[in-house]
Amino acid sequence: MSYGRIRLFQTETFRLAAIYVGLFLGSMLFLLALIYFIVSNAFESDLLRNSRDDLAAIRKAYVLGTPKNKSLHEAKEMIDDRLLASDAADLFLLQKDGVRVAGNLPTMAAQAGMIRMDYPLPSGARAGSSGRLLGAGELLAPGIYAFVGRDLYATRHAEDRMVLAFAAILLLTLILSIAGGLVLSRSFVRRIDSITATCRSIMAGRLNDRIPVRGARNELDQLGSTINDMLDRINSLMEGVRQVSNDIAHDLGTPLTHLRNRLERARRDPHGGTDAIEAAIADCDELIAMFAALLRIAQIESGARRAGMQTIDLADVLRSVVTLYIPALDDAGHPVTADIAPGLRMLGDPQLLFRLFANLLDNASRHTPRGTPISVIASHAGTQARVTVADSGEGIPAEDRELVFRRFYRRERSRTTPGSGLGLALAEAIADLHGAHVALEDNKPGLRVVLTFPLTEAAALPRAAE
Amino acid sequence: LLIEDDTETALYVTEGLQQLGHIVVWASTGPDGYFQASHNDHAVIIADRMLPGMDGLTLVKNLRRAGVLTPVLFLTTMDDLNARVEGLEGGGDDYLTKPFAMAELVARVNALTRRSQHLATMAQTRLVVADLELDLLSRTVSRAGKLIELQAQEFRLLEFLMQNSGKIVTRTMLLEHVWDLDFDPGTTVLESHMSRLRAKVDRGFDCELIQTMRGYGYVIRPN
Repeated sequence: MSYGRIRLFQTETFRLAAIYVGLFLGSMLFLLALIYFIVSNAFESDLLRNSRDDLAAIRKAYVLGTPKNKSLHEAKEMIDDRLLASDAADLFLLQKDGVRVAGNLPTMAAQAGMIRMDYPLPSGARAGSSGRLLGAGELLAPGIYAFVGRDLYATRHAEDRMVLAFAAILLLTLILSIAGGLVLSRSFVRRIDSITATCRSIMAGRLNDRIPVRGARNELDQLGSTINDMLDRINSLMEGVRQVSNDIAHDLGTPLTHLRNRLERARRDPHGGTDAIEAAIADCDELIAMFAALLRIAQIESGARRAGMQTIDLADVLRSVVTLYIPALDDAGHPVTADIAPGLRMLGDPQLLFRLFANLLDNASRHTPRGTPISVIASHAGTQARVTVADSGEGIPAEDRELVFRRFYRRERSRTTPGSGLGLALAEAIADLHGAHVALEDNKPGLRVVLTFPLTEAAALPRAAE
Repeated sequence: LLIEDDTETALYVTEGLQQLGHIVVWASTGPDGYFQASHNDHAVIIADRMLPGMDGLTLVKNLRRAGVLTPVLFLTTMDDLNARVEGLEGGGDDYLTKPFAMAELVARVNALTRRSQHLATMAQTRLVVADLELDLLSRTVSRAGKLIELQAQEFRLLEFLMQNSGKIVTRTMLLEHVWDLDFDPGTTVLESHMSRLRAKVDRGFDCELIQTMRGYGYVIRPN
């Protein structure tokens, strides 16, 4: 294989995986930051609430202290009690006129409300000279200030651990995502490589190669089997084209040989060979008609006629075909019955439709013995028109029914009757152009050609006005 | 006037028509043809659809715009799909698909020259050939004073034959004008109609008015 393996990191899958991982990590980072923010906020508001509770208790002790001159003392005692029982994280201050009365904090400016600040650590505590606290202060009376706080060290510590844990999670996710991306890309690249390899091999001429399909219903398998179906279709079309060119070579060869023979005879004929020349001209006309029919089929199949479509009544077309053919069919001894429902409005090319039914009637009369009845029936079938052209001749065996639509195909027993073998091929091409479905059925006995045409919507209902 | 760029076809047509006593002027390009057509009087213009310089359709459209009413017969190739409709809408009077038989061309040219000669009398309502009369208004046909019952298709068939009485009308001309068909539905179809018409028109009379020109078509004329 001349086709080099795509380097893994350049693959589309890897790129997509990388984008995905990036987005995932980003959203995770955002989420973790949010969690961090909420948790640390919750910690702090918890601390603050505790502080405020303590402060309220101190205020209560001060306000309710009796007698009045012992108020400050009550508050001081309360703080001293708390300091005895408490752990090191609780911080108190009670000061009067800038002088500490109780507590374990140095005096500070008497500021009410929430306070966040650094404070000097008492000696013998944790390393470092200052800690950070969060607390609330209140003026209990003019000159008397109380403050309750909590050291933030424990909170900070918990927060740091949280950050560490988050970082570990992110790292792990990153590693897993990259590994996953690589694995994904590799398996994807392998599948794509196999598709590419198959395509290359088909390009190189091995037309029967197909993309391996695993049977899982994933999109790659679907792509593979779609490509395989497409290849089958292309193959059958190519087969058709090959068949047609073989047939053209074969079927046009015969009349050309006849033509040549006739002209030879005309040359040898001492009387000028007028008859032979006449016959030769007739041969030429037949060949020209054959080419014209082939050309017409090709044009119809290419859809070039679609532009000329208009809304028509199929019943009108059918009636005029039948009227045209009745005398000829009558002369050939075929009784004709026609039962055509009116108002079969559809989009179509009347000339081509005329030709379609003309071909079918022509076929019916040529391939059945004298005296065989022929019927044309057209009726509404929901949103479709159903047209049946039936005879009670010998019919076509089921195994040949597909073949008769092939260009130049003529059944063995028909070889002796005149005809190009193009009639049904043309009929089918016209039917296809009109979105019609053609079915050959057994009329028991005989052949029944059933065509179903889509009607235009307004016409699906019987016309009430008429 | 023949406007055709293919020498082979041009010679074929010229020789064929000259043998019948027509005078043929040949122009091989569109502009040349236009000049000839607009400066001289011709009985019929035969124009190819595909011409160097100016295509046949444009040429005829221009001629019609310039007030030239000479009948035009278009020559078209097989693969030209909408040739007929376009040609007739563009001001042509008839069309013929290549390859064609000389007899076909002659019949059509004759029909066109006749039409141009009798342009003034086109509004006639009665067609008469010998003792056969066709009334276009009452849509009745009688021979030697005896009424003949005809079906609609037979009437149109006879009407077309009588409009061209004395001239050969080819099978394809009949199919085109009477049934509006652009293909040949097979040999027996037209013959059957014709034999029915003849049975009604000619049976029981001494002289057969409708005659078959074997291989070409039909003609109606008094013997």
